[in-house]
Amino acid sequence: MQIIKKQKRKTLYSSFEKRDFKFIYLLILFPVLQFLVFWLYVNLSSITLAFQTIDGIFTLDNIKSAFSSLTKQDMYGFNLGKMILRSLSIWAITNIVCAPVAVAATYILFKRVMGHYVFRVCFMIPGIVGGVVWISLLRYLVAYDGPVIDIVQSLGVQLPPMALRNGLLSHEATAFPTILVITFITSLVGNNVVLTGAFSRIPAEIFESSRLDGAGFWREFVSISLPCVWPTLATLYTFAFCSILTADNNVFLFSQGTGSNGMATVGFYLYYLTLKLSETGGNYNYPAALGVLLTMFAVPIALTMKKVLEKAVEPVEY
Amino acid sequence: MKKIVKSLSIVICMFLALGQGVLFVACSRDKVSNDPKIVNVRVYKGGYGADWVYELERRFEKAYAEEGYQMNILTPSLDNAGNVVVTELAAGHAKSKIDLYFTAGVTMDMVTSGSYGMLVEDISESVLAKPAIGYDKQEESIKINEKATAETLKYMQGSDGKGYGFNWVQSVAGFAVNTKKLAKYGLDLPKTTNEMLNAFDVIYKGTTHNGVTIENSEKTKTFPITYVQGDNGYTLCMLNVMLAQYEGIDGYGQYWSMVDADGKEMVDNGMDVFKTQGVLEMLKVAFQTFDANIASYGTTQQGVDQAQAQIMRESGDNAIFMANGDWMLNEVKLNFKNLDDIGFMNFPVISALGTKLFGSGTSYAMTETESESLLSYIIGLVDKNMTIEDIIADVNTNKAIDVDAESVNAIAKARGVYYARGIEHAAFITKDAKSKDVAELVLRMFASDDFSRDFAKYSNASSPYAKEKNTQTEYKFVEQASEIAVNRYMEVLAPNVRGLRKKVGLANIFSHVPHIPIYINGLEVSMYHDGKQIADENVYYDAANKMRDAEVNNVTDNWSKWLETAGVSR
Repeated sequence: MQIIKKQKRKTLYSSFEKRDFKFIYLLILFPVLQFLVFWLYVNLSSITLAFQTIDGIFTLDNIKSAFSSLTKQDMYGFNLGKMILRSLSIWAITNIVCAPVAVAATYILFKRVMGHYVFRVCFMIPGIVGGVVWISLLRYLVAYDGPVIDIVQSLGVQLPPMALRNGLLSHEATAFPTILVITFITSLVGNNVVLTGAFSRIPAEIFESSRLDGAGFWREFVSISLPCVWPTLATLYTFAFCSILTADNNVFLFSQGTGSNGMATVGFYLYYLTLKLSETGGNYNYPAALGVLLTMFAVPIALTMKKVLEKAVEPVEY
Repeated sequence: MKKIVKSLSIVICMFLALGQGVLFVACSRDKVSNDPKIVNVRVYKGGYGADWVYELERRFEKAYAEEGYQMNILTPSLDNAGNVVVTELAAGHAKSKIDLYFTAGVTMDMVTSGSYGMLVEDISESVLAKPAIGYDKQEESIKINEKATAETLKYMQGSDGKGYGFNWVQSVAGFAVNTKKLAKYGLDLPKTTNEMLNAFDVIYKGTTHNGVTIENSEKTKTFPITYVQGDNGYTLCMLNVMLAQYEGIDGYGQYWSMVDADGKEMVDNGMDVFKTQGVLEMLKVAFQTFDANIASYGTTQQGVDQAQAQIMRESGDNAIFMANGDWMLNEVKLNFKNLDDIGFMNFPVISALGTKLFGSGTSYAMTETESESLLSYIIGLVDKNMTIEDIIADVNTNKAIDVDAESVNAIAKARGVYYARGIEHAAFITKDAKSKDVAELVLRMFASDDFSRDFAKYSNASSPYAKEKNTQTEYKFVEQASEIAVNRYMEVLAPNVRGLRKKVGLANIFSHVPHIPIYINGLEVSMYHDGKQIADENVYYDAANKMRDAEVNNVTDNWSKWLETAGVSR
């Protein structure tokens, strides 16, 4: 009995430990509250709004309107289906076309090729410079008197007269393709910092060993480095799949807050719609329904791809 | 060598540290006073600057030196507007300590019946029903609510009819015109939309004036018009004014409220407000005015500063007309010296009004040219501030036409309509402000004739309490803008979505199209190409008709849904 009592006493916490617990609880209290208020409450409220009229009466009209806007213009003049396609295009260019190139480019820099510091600084500039400044610069480059129009014309591309008068973002035929090209160029350097960190964690001995086994630069990249950084890549891709329908690449800034000339994307529209509705007192039921509809599409994709990514490559411990 | 590098590094670091220190000093917080004799004031610093408030402070403190009343002006900022102010007001005076706000973008709804309830003091009796106070502390002979126009006061009222806001600037919207460039074409400031569009035609296609041949815009790079893209509302001011000119103030009110003449909400026929002839005529002129083919290069992608630069400069891509406001002069003053080159005019009167009053369907049975000519002539007389009787007599003498008083009155009212962004510029006394009495005295001095003159001088704008045009200014642009606001027929328009329209959430001028002129640009409707005319004006009418039909259809298709969502039963 005495032994049992002693054991029980051991589970009692000292005053120092209790103080530590209090400290830890207080430390996590704020993020938990944040989660409850700004995530749980907001999302529950959104879902509820989607199925209500402004007077709080249950209705499916908002969801029906959201569905019908997939194929035709909604009451605010935007077509959700087209916007989803644009968002998917931006997402695909960023994550399917450019991401592999970005991983390879980061690896090359990680291998300290000549001038790698210069390239690294250049790659980081878009992240350091504020979004508004960066977009202003890009807008100038594609303006009617900017250099890009001259380059495009010298390549023999016929541009619509309106694009020649007012720049590539001023015409439906050129505006969104311009956004895609900009997305392509800027995405080539995406996640450079995170991936460099992941590559740096790989022990030098593994590379030495592979070299002794006769592996070349690319063999080392494909067979050694990629599996080693796969958990990081999987996490990055999982996040990317979560935002598959909200990719908008600063369309708000490119179109000066209008989404005109066929530039509107889903991410832009949700913000635009909420902003506009807030000017009349805020009837947010329809945007809430749009949010629910988009979540219904995005969640299965994100969850499935997470599973696939986790199982795609055997985890490597080092 | 190492020692030198090290010393140099230390010196550079010290400079950087010192620089940071200076920056931090510059960022020090404004100090508020708890003394009830000192009124803490926050001021919006936009196009009118903030020099005027320091002059008000100087004059006020001099006048009330004996009592020890002072103004403590916190750093004026562009941020002291809209929801930022509302949030601070909602925090209450006990926290903010601010007694008086000179704001922008804050409507009466937001501070009297918004989600925070009543946030400001009622100044109906304590300020508006009292006389203004001059620099000598003497009360003027008339009350402030007699100095301000009825329209202005109406916009400063809460839903209970009491006055809570104090309008502090007229802020007239209209066309900024580079008159120096316009004169090269032998053109005067247009009074009607047809005159304006004819001027556009001459400028775009080129002309010969005083023996000098001027080539078309594509060659000279001087275009008739430029404007601002994005969500900028300058061009919408013009659309609103044209609608009010054609349909009258009541028709305009109906458009923005969907409440009929009997005061009933148009629950069954809200879409009818888009079916009027006024909407069609307004759209036709809009399509022609904002035709991207006659606008200067870069127009559809530029911001305000770039557009204003196109008006100011003479070389490179440039333009002559731009929808803007009397605030423009202060904005271009820093970068341009040729301020005498620009003039200001109210938006021209929609020419369709002439046809409506004197055209073939009326007893006058005039041709379009004749009715246009008569309309323009009468507008000239209205601009001279003549009475209706005098105008009728003048037309009879000089044009040998017997015009009826009703028609002349309609034209006078149409000419008097101007869009005032000043309504968005209101001052408020914080609810339970500690220095409420002193703040009231500040507002009463603001409304004085003495300060109206200084306000005009320091802001290059007009005080809403001025009865005369701004002659204090050295700029023609400012004087012309101020003249609009003191015309005897002036009627103020302001953004004011209300009634059923507000309930159903139709806050924008149209329900289904992006911002104007973005929508117009997207359709690429034009009768011009490459410096020449290639079609007739009907292309604009066709486009306007299509847009109006699409608008009516969109509202009709969604009407039931909107009513249901808004909780309005038929």
